[in-house]
Amino acid sequence: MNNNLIALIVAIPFVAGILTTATRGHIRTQRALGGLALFALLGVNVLLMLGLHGTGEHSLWTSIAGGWPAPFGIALVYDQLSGLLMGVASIVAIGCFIYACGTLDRRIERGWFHPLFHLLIMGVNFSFLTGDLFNLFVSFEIMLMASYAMLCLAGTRPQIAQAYKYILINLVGSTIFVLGAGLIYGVVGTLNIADLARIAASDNPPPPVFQAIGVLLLFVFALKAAVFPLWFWLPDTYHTLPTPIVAMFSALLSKVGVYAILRLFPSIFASPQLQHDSIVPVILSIGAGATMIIAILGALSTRQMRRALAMLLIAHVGYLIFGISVGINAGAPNAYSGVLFYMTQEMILMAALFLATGLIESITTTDDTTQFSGLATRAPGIAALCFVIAASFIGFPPLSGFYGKAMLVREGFATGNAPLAIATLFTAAMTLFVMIRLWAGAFWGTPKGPGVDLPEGAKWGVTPVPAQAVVGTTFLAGASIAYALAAGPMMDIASNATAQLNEPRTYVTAILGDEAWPMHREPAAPVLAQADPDSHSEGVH
Amino acid sequence: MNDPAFWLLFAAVLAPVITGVVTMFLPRRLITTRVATALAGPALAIVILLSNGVSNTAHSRPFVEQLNLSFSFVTDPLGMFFALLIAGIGALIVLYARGYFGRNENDLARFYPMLGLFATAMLGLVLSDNFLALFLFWEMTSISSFLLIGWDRNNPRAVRLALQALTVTGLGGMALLGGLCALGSATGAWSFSELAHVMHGGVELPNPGLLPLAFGLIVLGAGAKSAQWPLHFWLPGAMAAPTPVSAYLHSATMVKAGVYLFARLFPMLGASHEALAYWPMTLAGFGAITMLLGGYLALRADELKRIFAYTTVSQLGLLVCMYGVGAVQHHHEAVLSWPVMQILNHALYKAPLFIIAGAIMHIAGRKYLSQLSGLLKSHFHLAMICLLACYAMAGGPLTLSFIAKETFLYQVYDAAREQSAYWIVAAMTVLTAACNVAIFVRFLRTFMAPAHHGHAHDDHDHHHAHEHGFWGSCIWWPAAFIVAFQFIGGFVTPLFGGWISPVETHTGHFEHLPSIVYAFSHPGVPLFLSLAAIGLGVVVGLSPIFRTTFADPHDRLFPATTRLGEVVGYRAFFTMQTGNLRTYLIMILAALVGALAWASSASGLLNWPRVTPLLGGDVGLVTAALFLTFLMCAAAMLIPWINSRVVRVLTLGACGFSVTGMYLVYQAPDLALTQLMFEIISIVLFLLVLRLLPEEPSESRPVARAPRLAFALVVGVSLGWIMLHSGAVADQSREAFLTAQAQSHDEHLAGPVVHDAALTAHAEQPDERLGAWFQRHAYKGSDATDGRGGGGTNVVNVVVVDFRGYDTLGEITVLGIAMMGVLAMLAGPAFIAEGGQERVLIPTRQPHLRSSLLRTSMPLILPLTLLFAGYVFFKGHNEPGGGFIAGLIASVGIVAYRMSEGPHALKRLIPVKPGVLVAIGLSFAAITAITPLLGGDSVLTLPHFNVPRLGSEPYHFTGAAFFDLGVMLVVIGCSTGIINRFEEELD
Repeated sequence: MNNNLIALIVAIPFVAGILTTATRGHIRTQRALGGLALFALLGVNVLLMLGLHGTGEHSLWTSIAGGWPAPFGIALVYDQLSGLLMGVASIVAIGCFIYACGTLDRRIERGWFHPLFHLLIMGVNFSFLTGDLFNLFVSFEIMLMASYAMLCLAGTRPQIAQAYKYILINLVGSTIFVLGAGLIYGVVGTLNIADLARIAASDNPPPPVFQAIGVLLLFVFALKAAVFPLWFWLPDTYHTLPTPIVAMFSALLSKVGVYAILRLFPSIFASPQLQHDSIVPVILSIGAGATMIIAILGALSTRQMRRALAMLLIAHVGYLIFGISVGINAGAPNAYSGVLFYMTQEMILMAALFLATGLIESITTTDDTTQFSGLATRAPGIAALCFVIAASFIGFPPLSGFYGKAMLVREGFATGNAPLAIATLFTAAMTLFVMIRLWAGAFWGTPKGPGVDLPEGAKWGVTPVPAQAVVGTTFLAGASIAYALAAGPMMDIASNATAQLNEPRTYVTAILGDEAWPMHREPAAPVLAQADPDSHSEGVH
Repeated sequence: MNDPAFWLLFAAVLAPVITGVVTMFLPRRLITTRVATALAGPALAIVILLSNGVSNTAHSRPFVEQLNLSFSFVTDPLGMFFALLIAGIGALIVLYARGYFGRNENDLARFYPMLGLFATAMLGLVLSDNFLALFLFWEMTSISSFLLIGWDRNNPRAVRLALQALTVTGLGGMALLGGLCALGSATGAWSFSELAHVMHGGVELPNPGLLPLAFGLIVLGAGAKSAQWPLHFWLPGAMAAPTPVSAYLHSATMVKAGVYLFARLFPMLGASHEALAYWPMTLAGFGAITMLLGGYLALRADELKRIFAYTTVSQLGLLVCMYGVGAVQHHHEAVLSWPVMQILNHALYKAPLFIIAGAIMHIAGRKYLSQLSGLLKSHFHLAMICLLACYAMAGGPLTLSFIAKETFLYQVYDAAREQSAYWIVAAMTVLTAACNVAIFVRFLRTFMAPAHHGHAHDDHDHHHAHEHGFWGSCIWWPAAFIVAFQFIGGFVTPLFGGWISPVETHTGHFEHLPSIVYAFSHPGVPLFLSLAAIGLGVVVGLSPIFRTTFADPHDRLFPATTRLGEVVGYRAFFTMQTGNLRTYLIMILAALVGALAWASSASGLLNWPRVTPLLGGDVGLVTAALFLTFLMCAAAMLIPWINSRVVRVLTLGACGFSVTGMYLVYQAPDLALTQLMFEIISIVLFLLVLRLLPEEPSESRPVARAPRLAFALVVGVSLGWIMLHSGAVADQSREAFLTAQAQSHDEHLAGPVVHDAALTAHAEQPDERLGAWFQRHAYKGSDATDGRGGGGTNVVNVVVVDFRGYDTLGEITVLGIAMMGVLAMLAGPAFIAEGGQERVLIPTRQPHLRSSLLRTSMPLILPLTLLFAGYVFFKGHNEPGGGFIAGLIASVGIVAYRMSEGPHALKRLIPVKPGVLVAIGLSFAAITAITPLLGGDSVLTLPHFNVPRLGSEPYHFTGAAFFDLGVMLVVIGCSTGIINRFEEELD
């Protein structure tokens, strides 16, 4: 269904980016504009999602930029998948923004933080909203360029040194991406995702090289998602950055890669018609297993919170990739629901975890839990807040981390992927150990270390904990608890998104028109069609 | 809402946590109110449960339907028994905690909420019918146990042990989750009542192959929770918790969760006709080992709580063993006999033992058995209760425990008659019982011995004087109250049997609970085994053997595993995460090449692609293209071998200019012009940056580059291979399209069928579809677009600013961000003066020479370039050109001006800062893009205008011009801004 207002999702952060550029130097104005834009973004997202629900389970909003017909103009698509992700992304952004307003070094904030923050969100939303492969590349570029710039914001030597690696590795990804997009255009002559899905589902399958190009693109997205062995850019970078920035990065960047895999592979490069000779599911399975196990072992070996969190982040990307491989390989309809549920709640929690780390650092000046302990005596409130966040991330039911994981494991067992399901459980158990060791190491034990064993009276240690920081973190923790309480409805949204992913026909016809869907998939006998109008969804192979 | 019974049971489950949380908000001084409130929770739960009565109906409400997770509660006998046990002991523990913590408001304020949380979790666990709901409560018990073990949070030892307990039970929890998921997948049942239906209803299982895995994972999960060997070590460690916790969680209730699960699954998996063949052996094996090990370790321990912890381990082993042995079919019937009585029996002596251990530590200030000589004289009531409970633990006659041991031995005996392997279990049971008897004998001897004159142990875990009166006595009377039931059970067995028979699940071959009279009037092998155990125990207890303490070697398991994990993890992760960019790139690209090679072989791309002649075979063009290709490749391959930075940059430029030439060969003037201008700007930028870098090292760099070059070639060749194949496909499809078009033209009159075929071919060759469409619509529209066209004759420009304007919008944003990034990184001098950061780039000390030649020619160059830029911009929509190119051209001029005229030149030329220029440019683009939304159109729906012109037809221009202007401004702002910054660094 056409709805041109979906472009607001990109327009709002874009305009905010321009306005905060124009008002550079006036921090109060920038903050006010930024806050306004972020809440407007959340509001628009919520309204669009509600509207989408109102128009039926399988509907989606589309708009073609420039008003041209698809596939000639660039399609923007707001379906349950992208809507869910963008809504969660705006919640994360609000939390990080509040935190940033209280804690960032004035010089960084007066520099280019505000415009870059909004343009990063623009890039992320652009990626979720676009229905065009090349436009997806452009969106990635916006997002990445903003992340490059934010990496250098504080401009210290270690940051620049790590940023250099980050940029070069991601440039390799971008190069391969644009190459892949170009080759796709050369081979099938279109870049519109709906058009590609149509071609992938047609009687006349695309040539074999199409799948090789798919592997090329898989490489790009796996690099973005930090899958083994492509994650090197991530752990080296994340421990040098200012807290709110690293929180944004951890929540959004790798998840965009996972999103791209979800968007492009089940319905295009590993669609049911193509997957019998596709190596994509195998690659995904191997990547998922190796990512989980090696990253969680890495997390075991460190007591520095930021490093450990970065590795846990990677390990949990393994869950998502595992879920996608199950969904593609075995056609387990619920696997993507698990992926989506897990991914969205983890976006909130990953950001919350990094913000919580920042809270601790603001007292102790370090994130190395071997340097201090016993913080709970000094800051019991922060201890409780961090415990809730950590427990949610570990996935203690009834907190939010549980449902998605349980779904993934269940689908894994149901579809004969027991080894990977067990690897997931092992990773989850080790996550518990790592997280609780960090928490207990920081908050329990003899009070000692910088900022903790101060004489009575010096209440907060070296620096006071800024109120905004606590509010931002609590906001995200609250969002995660709300997510857990609303687990049923959220899982419904995830299932609807999954239904759309499993049934590309909705997506294709919404953009290209009803006649675009390949004819052979319509039921052959009219009797059948009457008996079960949805039978074509099963497909005739 | 429509099932009141559900909400009633839900309330019963939630009551303890709610009242516990309420106590948090009570004023500190109201201690009695606090105790009463905390007591109300379990009491309320008992009242609701009793009023509900035993029933087999599950009351449920879905929570997450996709996950088959629903809150469903059922008060069947087993669940009812456990729930009453939990709530009953919970109520006593609330009182005991008041005696234990005394008037310490802070401790009580912390303790009751956690206790409430635990009681709720435990009640939910035993009443849940749904698998995942059970798991949900199961994990909640682990968390509350962790928080309670780490009660003494500033003590590193307690913290370590809490972490150990949580890790082991958490690992078990994950195994249980896996087991339950596998069980659900195997049977299609997601609750116990469904499972019973499936297993007994002869329904065909959807995936029976998963059952062994499910069973294995459940055994691991339940075993970890119930402290079965080899994961039992966490339980003695958990004794770091305050004694009320040890009495409640770690002996009477939580550790029985695993046993509960076996009890729950016993009728479905253990004893049904589709039973798992390995159920009896697995459970009996692990249980028996745990039982004997626990008994032995208890005998070798000295600390009171440790002794009782190991006997708990031992008893848990016995219970698990019982459910294993009970599944052996004797005369086609499971031999499980009064299992609920066994579970209750343990709670009835173990909870008093812990309670009294706390009281002894508290009142006598001693925690080691060896220090307790003379206790009978000094603290008679404590010593008596302790001895009575110990007597029960030893299974002495006239206690419930004696009867429990008898029935267990009967059960093992029956099984052993069926399968002789179970004689081993019988032997292990006798040895374990002997250990328990020996412990009792040792307690008795110590208590009766003359008083110990050593100092009281001074590190007992509470720091307040003992109270008198009712609240003070709360520290011991719950023990007396509970242990009394042991003797009621022993003396008036039929009465006691009557009490528990409503909740008893299996009775084996004893329809009535056998009393001691029965045992002695029907002497058999079990009785003799029992007597042998007592005899052996007395001998061991009196003899000097096994007197020294002996640390459980399993205690080292957790630290050692953790350490191993750390080392292995470090190796596994950090051998790759070296911090070296080159290593990273090599691994990443190797993965790419590997994946591509695999993909190629999987999709049959190993053959040589069918490449059609280049450029339609035009000899001149082909020669030019080949020459340029050679130039490009040669320049690229040369770069690694050049040592001078400047030369390297220039060689890179040669690559770029070859690309420009390539665009010309393929007749793309717009692209060629853009590429040319871009190359100029980027070389200028490069050279500026080079001036800021430190001196080049004088010595030549190592030439060990051959392997790397070879690797680079492999990467290039594999990418090139895919490109060749893609190119071949594109060529073929173009040919096919042309052929199809020709056919359809030839046979146009032949009929609709052929026409359809042509249409299909058309649809399948979208390569031509898009290009042709863009060409058709660049200027004028068609029916498909309601007559709207791009309004320009330069297709490239129309595509850039209109058809794919959304991409362009993104790309100019990227440009703007790039500028912000550079400016942020090279924060201005004012910024550095504030001490903001260390400077990243250190300029060389060479004087910044300005070319006089450039300076002289500037008055000519600048106006000309700007004029040309303007021309290119205005012509752009119809002829080669456009905002992007115009911006680049203007930038070249402006940059040259800036370089020749020095710091203030730019300000003279452009009054606003580059950042603002970018913002203006972006806002032009944004306004063009967003305004159509107001009219209900899609973004970037560009308006068309006709401006009347004198003497000729009106000048037609579109909103694209405005958009293009934005593009131009962004390009100018970005390139001049960046280069200006570098210039400033040099100035």
